[in-house]
Amino acid sequence: MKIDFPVILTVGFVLVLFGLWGVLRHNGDLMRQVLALHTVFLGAVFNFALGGALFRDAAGMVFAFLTVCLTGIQMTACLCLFLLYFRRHKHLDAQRIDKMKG
Amino acid sequence: MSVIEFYVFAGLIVAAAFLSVAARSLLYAVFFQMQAVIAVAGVLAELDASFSGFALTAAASAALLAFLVFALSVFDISETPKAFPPKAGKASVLFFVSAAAEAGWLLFKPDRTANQTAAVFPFFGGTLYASYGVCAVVFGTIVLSCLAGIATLTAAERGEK
Repeated sequence: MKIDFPVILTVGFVLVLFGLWGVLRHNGDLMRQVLALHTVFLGAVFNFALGGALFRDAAGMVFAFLTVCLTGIQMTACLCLFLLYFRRHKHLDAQRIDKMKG
Repeated sequence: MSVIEFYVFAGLIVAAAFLSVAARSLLYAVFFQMQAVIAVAGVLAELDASFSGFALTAAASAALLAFLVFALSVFDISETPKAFPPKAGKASVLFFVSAAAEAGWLLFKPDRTANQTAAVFPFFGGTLYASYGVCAVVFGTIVLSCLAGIATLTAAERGEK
């Protein structure tokens, strides 16, 4: 018995779905939105790695590495921006972010 | 990797991702996210893709650790009593035990399933992703210990105040 591709695809799709749900659910909290985006990236890593293994294609693993690196960069950049924003406005409320002037 | 193990880890991933989004506390959300990352790394390690698991664990652990330290340092905990749940210390211990159980499973399992892995996914059998499983397990456990320690210390400090 082998692991079928639809199962792998379903798990990755569910992870992406949960991530998008998290972004919509926590629409006022920037930190939680970044955490939800991390779930989306996790689903992408899962799909790339296991899909590449299933089809014996090294490109899947390469893209998994790329996604891992992009996830780290994205979270670091977001935290830096959040720090700058918090120092200036003393809050991280996404509903009030449209009042920024730059 | 047997099919049952894949489904167990896949269920862990989905459940942890769901709880990460559904949890109200930021601390619990980060912990559930870390559980999901460890489970994904477990799937990769079971496939003899331990190097990928190590890369994923390292990047995600560093990012989530920075995330939690950022949350602890930016927000004034003494002025925001609802930022952390009252049982954060006990929950941190629970998360640490479950993460250590997963880490222990990853540490001892690949030696027993090397042939089974080749039967299910033969692609990873001869590649270079085969010698980093222990590194991934140790790194993930250390960083998770740091997370649990930070959470426990924060809860203790708040209790003293």
